[in-house]
Order: sequence, then structure tokens, then C-alpha cells
Amino acid sequence: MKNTTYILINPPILRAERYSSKFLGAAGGSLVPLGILYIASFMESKGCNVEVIDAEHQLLTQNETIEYVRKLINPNKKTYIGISTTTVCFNNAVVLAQNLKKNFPEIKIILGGVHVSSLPEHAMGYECFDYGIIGEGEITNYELIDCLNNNNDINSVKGIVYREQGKLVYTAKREPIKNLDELPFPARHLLKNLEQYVPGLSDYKQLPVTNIITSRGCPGQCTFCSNAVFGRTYRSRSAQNIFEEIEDVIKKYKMKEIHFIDDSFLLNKIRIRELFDLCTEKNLKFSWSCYSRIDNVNYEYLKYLKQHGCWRISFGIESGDKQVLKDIKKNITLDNAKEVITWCNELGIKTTGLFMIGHPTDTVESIKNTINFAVNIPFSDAACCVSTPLPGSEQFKTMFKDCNYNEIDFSKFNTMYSVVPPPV
Amino acid sequence: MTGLDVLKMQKEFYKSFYLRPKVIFRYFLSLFSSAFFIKFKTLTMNALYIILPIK
Ligand code: B12
Repeated sequence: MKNTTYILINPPILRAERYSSKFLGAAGGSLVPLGILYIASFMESKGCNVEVIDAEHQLLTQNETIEYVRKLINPNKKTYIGISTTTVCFNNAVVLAQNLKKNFPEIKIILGGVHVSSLPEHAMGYECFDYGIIGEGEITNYELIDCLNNNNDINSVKGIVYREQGKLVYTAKREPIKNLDELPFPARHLLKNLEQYVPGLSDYKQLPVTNIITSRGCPGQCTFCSNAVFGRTYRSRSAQNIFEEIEDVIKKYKMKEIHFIDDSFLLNKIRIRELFDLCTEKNLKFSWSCYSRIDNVNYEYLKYLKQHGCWRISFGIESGDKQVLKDIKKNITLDNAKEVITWCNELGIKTTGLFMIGHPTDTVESIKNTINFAVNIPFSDAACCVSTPLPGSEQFKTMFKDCNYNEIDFSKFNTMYSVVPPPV
Repeated sequence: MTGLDVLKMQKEFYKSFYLRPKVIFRYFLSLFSSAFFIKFKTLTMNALYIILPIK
């Protein structure tokens, strides 16, 4: 792959588009885009020259992004462009890809990320995208580019979707990567100003801080969650492998804090204890925060976590109404939530209660229950977004079953609008 | 329920949670910890979000 350049882009999107409010947007964070950085490091490990443009973080306009790309193109190398997008950012990705096609018609554009993984038929309906990568992208993307470079039959590459004579062709399903330890660490060195990536305002205590993901897939059944990329099978990296990434970011970038962004970081107690025992043994000191399910912790475990640098845990509670919790298949109890938050308080671990309102079966009454619950439990902080039927979730499948996806305004899927308000 | 009703209740959520003497006092105290800037900004932003009308 020595003769190939791969330009990976996180498209431009304003905070106001992400949060519907300039102010709330300012309180929101900017995290290292691990998706494209994992693709980048895998490609680098195969000898490819990779460039990353995080237009969202750098607040680039569409035109500035195009000009940036122009500067990176080396006419002596084979060039590909990869674009990553969620659903809310999809329209921006289309505008970007259309402009790129106008300016550089000979360059193939590959689309990856959660939107194309959830709704490939919608995403690939746009001819500006040449290939779509469904799900986990590292191996699929490498095999595709290798295949294109060598003019091989792309039908042999699992996990992609492309057009042939105007029709979409899906290749065989790609199996999830079994051993995540085999993946190289995300290519943080390709980002400009790594220290300027800072999570939401109550999500860090010390700077510099960086986000790390240590597992993929979640066994939960929650109807609102989009799980098209990593699926329902939980796979985790080994304690040793995570330790090495932490050691790397502390040594190379002087990180003082780690923000673990796994769906459920604390799920596997044995792995977590192995990890933090190792950090203590090797005298690796840092503060950290994470997300967890309420039912993944108990008092002893929390005590251990606190002793090993944990300062905040954000818990997905979603609703303070028993029936709604049941309807969205969250599978936790409010009594358990209360117990856990009280323990955290006692131990001095800060907590954020993550809530949603506007669930399909929410009523004024049940939303009041949610507000009352949040207020009466001693959370340090709370956040409340609007339940949104995200592509890739069970709710989307049910609510938009017979819809023409082209008629849906996906720019509203930022969890700050009520896309489908509860019927009652 | 309309979408606007949901957004109004979302605002109600933030008001009820953050505009409590207990929480304001806690934030006030934490302003003197190492996280001064963070706390100050979070509080200001949340306050602005609560005060400003829904579009
Ligand atoms: C951390 C996080 C954030 C962070 C940072 C995002 C970032 N810069 O990466 C913040 C807080 C900013 C954020 C914001 C939002 N988020 Co968010 N976020 C996540 C979370 C928890 C982890 C993301 C991550 O790093 N994953 C790890 C990497 C390795 O996975 P990945 O990005 O999917 O990448 C893999 C594949 O998708 C693919 N791939 C990705 N890009 C590309 C590109 C190419 C070219 C190729 C070939 C392959 C490829 O290969 C990668 C490696 O295997 C996910 C849930 C999850 N578990 O993934 C939700 C998730 C992505 N977020 C979600 C949502 C809804 C939002 C917001 C709308 C909410 C809001 N109002 O804040 C915004 C939208 C922001 C935006 N720009 O679009 C949804 C998206 C659903 C959807 N259909 O769009 C998710 C899936 C949560 C969920 N389960 O429902 N988020």
C-alpha cells in the first residue's frame, strides 16, 4: 500500500446542528473521533499514507474542507477518500461528497459509520458515495482498498455495499473481529492539537484528557439504542492491551485523565480489576470516568474503582417511570438506581444521571415521574435528552417500517428534537 | 403530546434539577476546587439553556 493515500474525513457539523442550541452546544464536548482513527491506524499498519481531517472539531466549512483535501492530494499516489457519518450529520456528508466528486471526479469515495451501517439502502442511494462499509470497518476497508488497487473482484470483500448498473449490490456479511487486541491503537498522532479535544464540561476533572474505547458490542436490549455497527455480542480488549494504550497516551501526550466511552465499561469485573491492578502495579497514575449500567456495580466494586482513580460514573437511567423502563426494555429497577447512586455519594464518586423524555409510551405523568426521580436521588449532575428513534435501533424499525427514507429529515435526529412525539 | 410539549418538559427537567438551592450551593462550593473553570462554565451554560426560550 506504499503508493496509496487515504484521506479520512469527519464532515463539518456545527454545535448548533448537533444540539439545536448554541448554548447547550457549548457545554457539549468534542471527543477524539476514534472510528476514523482506528481505520487510519489499520491502514498505516499496512503501509498506506493516511491523512485525517476532523472538520467538525476544526470548525471547517464545506469549502475549507474541500480546499484542505486539495492540498493533501499527491498526483503520484493513488488516492481514496473515506467519510464517516452518524445519522444527524448525514446530509452534511452528502453535500461534502457531492462537492468532492465535482472537484475530484476520479477519486473513489468510501462511506463508513453508523448511518450507512444502519440504513445502507438510504445512504448508498446517493451516487456521490462509491462504496459503503457496513459495521466494523478496519478489515473490510483495508480489503476493499487492496482489492481496488489490484483490480480484483470486489464481490469477494465481505461487508460492503456498492452500485452496479444502477442497482445496489451487497456482499456477504462481515463477521465481527474476534480478537480486538489485534487492532493497532487509534492513530491519535494524525490529529492536530490533540489537547484541544475535551469532553463535555462536567465529564473531566483534569486536562489533558483523552477518550478510549475498550470494548465493542452491548448485550442490552434497549429499544432506543442504535447498535448496527458493533451488534449485541460483547467483545472486549484484554487488560494488558488497554493498559498499553493508557501507558502510551500518558507517555506520548502527557494525558492526566482517561474518559472511557464504552457503552458499559464496568460490565466485566474481572477484566476491570485486572486492568487497574496492573496500573497500580506499574505505578501508572491518572484519574478516569466512564459510563455504566446501574446493574453492573455493587458497593465493594465501587469502592475498588474509587481507590483506583475513578471520579465520575455516568449511569443510563433513561426514565423515572417503571412502566416506561419496561417498555424500552432497559431492564433496570429504580430501587437499584437509588441504591447505587447513594453508594457512589458515600464513596465520593460523582454521578451523572442520563435521562430521556419523549419515549414512545411517555405521558405527562411519566415525564413528571422522571423529573421527580432525578431531583430526589442525589445525582451530582443530570442530563436529559429527547428520545429519538435512531436508525439502527428497534424503535426506528418499528416507527419507520413502511416509510420512504428520503422523506425523513435526518438532520433532526440529534436527540434534541422530538422527531416522533409520544401519541398521548 | 406535541414536540414542543416534550421540549418544554425537557426544560422543566433542567430547571427542576439545577435551580435548587442545594445544587446551586454545591456548585458554589465546588467553584473553589481545582475545577473552577469547568464548574463555572457548566453552570453558566446550563443556566442560559434554561433561561432562553425554546425556538
Ligand atoms: C463517544 C460518542 C459520542 C461523542 C464523540 C463522537 C466522536 N467524535 O466520535 C459525542 C459526545 C460528541 C457524541 C455526539 C453524538 N452522538 Co454519539 N456516540 C458516541 C459512542 C458512545 C462512541 C463512539 C465511538 O468512538 N465508537 C468507537 C468507534 C471505533 O466506532 P465507530 O465510530 O462506529 O467506527 C467504526 C465503524 O462505524 C466504522 N467506521 C466509522 N467511520 C468510518 C469511516 C470509514 C471511511 C470507514 C471505512 C469505516 C468507518 O469503522 C469504525 C471502526 O470499526 C457511540 C456508541 C458506540 N458504541 O459507538 C455513540 C453514537 C455514535 N452517538 C449517537 C448519537 C445519537 C449522537 C448525537 C446525535 C447525540 C448528541 N446530541 O450529542 C451526537 C452526534 C454527533 C455527530 N457529530 O454526529 C448514536 C448514533 C446513532 C445514529 N444512528 O446516528 C450512537 C451510535 C449511540 C447509540 N448507541 O445510539 N457521541
